[in-house]
Amino acid sequence: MALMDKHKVKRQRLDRICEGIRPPILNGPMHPRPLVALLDGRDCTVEMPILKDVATVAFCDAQSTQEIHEKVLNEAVAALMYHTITLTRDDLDKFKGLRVIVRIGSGFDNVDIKAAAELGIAVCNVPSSSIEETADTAICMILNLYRRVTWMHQALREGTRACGVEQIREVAGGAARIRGETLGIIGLGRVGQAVALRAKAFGFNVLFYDPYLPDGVERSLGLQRMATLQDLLIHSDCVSLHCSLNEHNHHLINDFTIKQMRQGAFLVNTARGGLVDEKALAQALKEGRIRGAALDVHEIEPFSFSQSALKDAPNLICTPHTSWYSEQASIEAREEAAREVRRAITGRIPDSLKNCVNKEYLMASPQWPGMDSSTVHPELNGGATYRFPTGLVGVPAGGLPVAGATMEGIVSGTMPIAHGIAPVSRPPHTPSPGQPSKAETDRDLPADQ
Amino acid sequence: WECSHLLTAVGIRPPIMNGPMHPRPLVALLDGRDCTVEMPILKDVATVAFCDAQSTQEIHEKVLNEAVGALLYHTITLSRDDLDKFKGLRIIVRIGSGFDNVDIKAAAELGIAVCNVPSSSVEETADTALCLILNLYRRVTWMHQALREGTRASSVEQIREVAGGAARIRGETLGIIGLGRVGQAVALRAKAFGFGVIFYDPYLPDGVERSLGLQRMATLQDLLIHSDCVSLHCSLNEHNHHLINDFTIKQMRQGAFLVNTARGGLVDEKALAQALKEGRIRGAALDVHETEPFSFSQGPLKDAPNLICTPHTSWYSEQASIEAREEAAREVRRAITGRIPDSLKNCVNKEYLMAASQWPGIDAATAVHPELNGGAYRFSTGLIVPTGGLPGSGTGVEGIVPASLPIAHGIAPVSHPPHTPSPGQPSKAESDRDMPADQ
Repeated sequence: MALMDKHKVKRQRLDRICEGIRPPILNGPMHPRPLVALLDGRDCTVEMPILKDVATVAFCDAQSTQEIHEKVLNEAVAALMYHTITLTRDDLDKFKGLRVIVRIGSGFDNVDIKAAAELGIAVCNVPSSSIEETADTAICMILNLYRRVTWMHQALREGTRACGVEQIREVAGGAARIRGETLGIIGLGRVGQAVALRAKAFGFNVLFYDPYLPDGVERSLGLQRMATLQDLLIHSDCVSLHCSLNEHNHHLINDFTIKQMRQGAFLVNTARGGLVDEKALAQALKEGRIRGAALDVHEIEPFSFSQSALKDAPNLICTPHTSWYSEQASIEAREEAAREVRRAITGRIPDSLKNCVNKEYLMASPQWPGMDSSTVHPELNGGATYRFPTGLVGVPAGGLPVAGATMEGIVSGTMPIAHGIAPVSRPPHTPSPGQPSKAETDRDLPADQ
Repeated sequence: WECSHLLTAVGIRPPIMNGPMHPRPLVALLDGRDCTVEMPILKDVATVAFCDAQSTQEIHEKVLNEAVGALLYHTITLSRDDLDKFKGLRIIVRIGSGFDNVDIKAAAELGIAVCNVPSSSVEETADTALCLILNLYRRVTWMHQALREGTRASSVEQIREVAGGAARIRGETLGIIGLGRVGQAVALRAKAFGFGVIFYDPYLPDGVERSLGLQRMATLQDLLIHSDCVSLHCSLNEHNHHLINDFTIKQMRQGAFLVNTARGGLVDEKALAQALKEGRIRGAALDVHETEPFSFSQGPLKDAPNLICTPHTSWYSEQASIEAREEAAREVRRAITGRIPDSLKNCVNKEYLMAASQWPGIDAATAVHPELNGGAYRFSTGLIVPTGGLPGSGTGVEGIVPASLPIAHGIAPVSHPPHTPSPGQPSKAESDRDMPADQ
């Protein structure tokens, strides 16, 4: 009973929060607007103004697809998500009508983008978000390792007193001069570059390793490029990770590569926890091979000092995946993500998308089998209007700006998606276990918690 | 046990000269015990002792009576009364750049030159100041503390909550009070983060702002009004105690940050605590405090929120520490083997020394320190002997000249002008060179 009340309250809250305030304005047979769902959050206030006239926005506040309500799984055409939920191939299979996923942030390692492409789902990110916030935090971490501010504040909080200069030297022991030290940046993307330029101001000698960049980038910024990871590790006093996580670099920092690092080096990670083997790191910290580590991301999140391979490791500074955060960065990312969803709804997939990360896989994905018209989402792909009954030709929505074609129809699924005028259904396949298809018109879609 | 302390500090090489032995001048490290870095530089020209004192009360009378050179950090204060206790002091060298803990005017009147090491720890301090600023903006220290205390942030909303207050830096204004060596280093680093950097420094000539591409404010108030984050980089003097007080804090922006790696006396901690509690100041990061050593459980900042504190460590790195100690020892050596103040590189009270007026007559029995001012340092009172083989600075001949010659000409070692002895400090003549600190 209590659970039902909780759902009811949630539903009401959802109504109030996420339904656009403006009532439907068109006459004629009503066709629901496409459903956009925020998967792993509950606050849609920033997204609403951008989407409410073209979509229905719902939130799931889920930590896994198990917690997502069936209505969302069946009807959502677009999903917004952060980094706290994972979408594997099996997870993606659960969605019946998804066409676009937008990551509110830059990393997308928590989505199987190839599987998504095979299922006809474009995946986008917001690569411009939080670049300087992350770089500023990375430098803050580096400085905390060299100047030991965090640890000394902690010591003072615990009652340490440093009376004479000898005691001061002792409590500050390990605080090191920066000028002349070498900072090795792994991954010279947007954040890596911002870190490199800040580090130069402190007198760091900056190296980087990035196998994906073309020749000459080092000349642009006046940095030194290393040809291999090993070269970078060997020459660095402090190593900072700024690469995305992919299938090739899980546990990039492991027992073997740690042993290539300098004795007493520092390690900083504001990128992805999966890049670092925490067991190996803990061992290296205990033995002093690594003098200190500062980590904003961890193999298992949310991170807890008491429940991790790093439990008893000394000389650690940890933060809970917050290096990206400032109020402005958060709002900017959410607005940009909502705009990308809007572009998907009102334009063509993937042509109208600004930051599609699986475009090549989408283009290459095999032919679409025939459509089941009852699952068509005419609102997508330049649909002039998002209100017309199944099977009819579209009617331009009076007064509302629409991208692309004014006329559309339901075309057989043999036309490639890129030409955009054909809304296609998801290719039929064995439904995921436990997910019977349902047709429901009820737009209240609280998350299953 | 006291003897052994001293013996570890004394040079190993035994005296090599014949003839009447005159002891080498005594140089004392007042508020420390480690002289290992200074010894190699001084042992052939001086006897080095350490006092490990926190006040002059703890300094042994032998040192008070006989030391001609003193080395000190920031943890002991030498007021006029303290300086009076020394009977033969000629040179004080601060191992560091600040000298607000020494009354340099009184020292000059007593014929004591005061020097510092201004190049020490410039970048260490600047790097630490940036670290404190970044910790206020990105909240790493506080979030690490929260994690240590068991906080978990599962969802993005919880992440936003635990990171609440973390702010974007680009476009913020950093106001630097005091654009000296450290202030300049901080300014240039801050620019790399996108801070708009302004400064206030009434002592610098026009145009400095053009050199570094900064904006100069004409008054302190102007700077406070326009800054999102204020960082102190000025020395403490008689004019700027409690520079940051109730009144000036109210000129600061609502929710501004404050950083202090300079001197605790610049900030009225009671006023700061109040401002932190009311949120008028959003956060403060302090390496220096009104009362040191600092403790979170004592003092006006006891219950203040949004504080980051470190125990006067912003200067420290092993290299900086060694460099400062070596440079300080070299300054003492210059004083012993050269002229005061001419041979000194970083004398901070030179003008006061020059202006120090009449010197009463010398009492030969207590006065002469022939080792100083270019003296060959081995001759009995009254004789003139050039030192064979050892480098002396300047003249090879010297004598004992009446004290009416200004010190600047240097050839006249002068005694400490007689005056009413400080209470409890009877003068003593002792030849015993073992001078352990009174602990």
